[in-house]
Amino acid sequence: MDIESLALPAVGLIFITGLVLLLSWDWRLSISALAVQYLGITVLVGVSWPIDIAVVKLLAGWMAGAVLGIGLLGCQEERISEENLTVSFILYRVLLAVMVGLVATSLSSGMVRWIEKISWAQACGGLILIGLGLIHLGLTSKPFRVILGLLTVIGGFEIIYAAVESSILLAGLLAGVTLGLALVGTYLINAPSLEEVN
Amino acid sequence: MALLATITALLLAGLAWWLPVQDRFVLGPWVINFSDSVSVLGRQFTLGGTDRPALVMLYLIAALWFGAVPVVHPGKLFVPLGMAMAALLTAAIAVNPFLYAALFIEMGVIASMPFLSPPGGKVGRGVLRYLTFQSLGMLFILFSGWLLEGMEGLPPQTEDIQRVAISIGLGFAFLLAVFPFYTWIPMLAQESHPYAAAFVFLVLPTAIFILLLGFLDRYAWLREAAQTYEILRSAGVLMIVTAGVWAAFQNRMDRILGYALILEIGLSFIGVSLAQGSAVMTYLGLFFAAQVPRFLALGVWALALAILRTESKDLELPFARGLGRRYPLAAFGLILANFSIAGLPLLAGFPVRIPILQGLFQASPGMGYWVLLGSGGLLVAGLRTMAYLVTGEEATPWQLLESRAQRAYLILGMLGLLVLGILPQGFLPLFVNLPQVFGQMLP
Repeated sequence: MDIESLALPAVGLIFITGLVLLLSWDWRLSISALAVQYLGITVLVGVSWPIDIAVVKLLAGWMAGAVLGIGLLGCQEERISEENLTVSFILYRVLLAVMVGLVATSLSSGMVRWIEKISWAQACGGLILIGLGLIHLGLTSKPFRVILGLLTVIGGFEIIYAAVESSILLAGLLAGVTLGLALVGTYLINAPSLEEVN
Repeated sequence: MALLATITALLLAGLAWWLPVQDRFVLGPWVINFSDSVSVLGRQFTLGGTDRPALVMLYLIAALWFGAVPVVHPGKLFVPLGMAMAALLTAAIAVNPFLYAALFIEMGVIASMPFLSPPGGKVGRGVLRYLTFQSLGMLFILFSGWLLEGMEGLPPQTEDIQRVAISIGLGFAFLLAVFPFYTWIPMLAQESHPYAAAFVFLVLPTAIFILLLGFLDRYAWLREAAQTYEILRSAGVLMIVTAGVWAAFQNRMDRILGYALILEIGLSFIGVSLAQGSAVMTYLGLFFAAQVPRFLALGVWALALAILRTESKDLELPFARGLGRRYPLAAFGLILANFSIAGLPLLAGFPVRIPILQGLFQASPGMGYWVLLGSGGLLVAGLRTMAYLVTGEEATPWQLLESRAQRAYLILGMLGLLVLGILPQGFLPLFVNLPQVFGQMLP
């Protein structure tokens, strides 16, 4: 099967996982959504890159998810979850996500005209993730949520950047940043309960 | 561990100074060839002769900073991760194409997180905001690199220039904490150990400024556009004014340190903005020379704060009333460092500020007055701090509670601030040739 035919479903997948990340109060659900999100990112990166190199994104993303998951095991719930998930809170986030989706869809055509090498699906997927990630960052101050937001923004950027830059070193370095963020996220989540080393 | 790190950093600084580049070293029967490049995944990491001064400076700063670790206890993670940060910033200087430096700077930021938010402590918003802003800045810089590569060899279109300008502008605004993206600096200064935070405040902006100068050096249309320098200058003035005014009304000693750094970044922006035409060598030289008084002032300030923190965990001014009577050297060092960054005559910050201010007054007198206002704000903050530290109950006797090692470091630092202020000719000429690293910028 041609990977380009999977690009549009991948955009849908990315939007759904981004929305789940924005709404999820259970860290297990968040980690699962992140893992699925990286599947979508890999498909969209694979439109521009050979699939064996694009898989680096999947590996880095899944490893980041695994690192975060291991770090979260046994962690106190209040340090991870948002408090007071009310109906209005959920509705507000859903509306924001829908707005991001609409803005991304309308901006994608312009981006395709501007960046010749990018496909509509890549532009749309990338912009959706960047938008949802920024909203995530703006709505939280919990380390776990901030890391999820950053990984989402960087994932969106990686889709767009893959269309214009195919350096292997860059792929490796961005994978290093993804893993580094996951590691530092795990550290920050657990830091308050760690023994002071002073 | 601190001793080992200090010796290693000194050794690396010495090697950067002495090691022959692109040459062979004969030791008895062995011949060792020194290449300045190493290839990793198809990209070059080059540390040529022109990079030597920056390397020597980076590792000397690291060595001197790590040297005082045993007297301030910034946490066990500080030294190893500080070394990692220095190594990643070295990679940022060496990587080719230089745009990838943004990724190494981001890795340096990630490496700094554990010592800024040590185990056992609450993770503050400032640390998270620092990570977020630096990450967003990295993305903008990478994207700007692609935009600029696309413009090479083509006549720049107005639309392209606008896109690149916005992308680069936002990238450096996030990375260098330009107004209004600087809120994380005072927050970080408050949440983290002052000595660890000051290390980041010192090395990170320097590495990012070298990246900014790399952009100006590499892209002719960028450095030839008059708006570039006007934007840099305006950003610098805005940072100095806002930081100075906020500092004057600030009630926490650690947050004042953060505002002082913002003021210093603003001054660097002004220095770079004045480096045009025949004045490139002068102002870029001053930009590099300004790192020395900044290093000394931030070092003494952070050391003093770390000492005062042992007595009063809360560094709010009302709680620090009379603290100077028990820790007079720390209090005096803190005030002296504050005054040096504010640009008071006879202190280390003064000789580099005067030519920059003169240049600014020639370019735009109005902006010059605003900068004076900002510096005045920091001076007021210093006077307020002094008033709180030395006034206490009359019955409180003057004591000297600093340890011997702390006294030695403080006295050395304060002497450095005074000597560099009185005899600037001792260090200014060392930086005269440093701008040659950015050969394309020279007239």
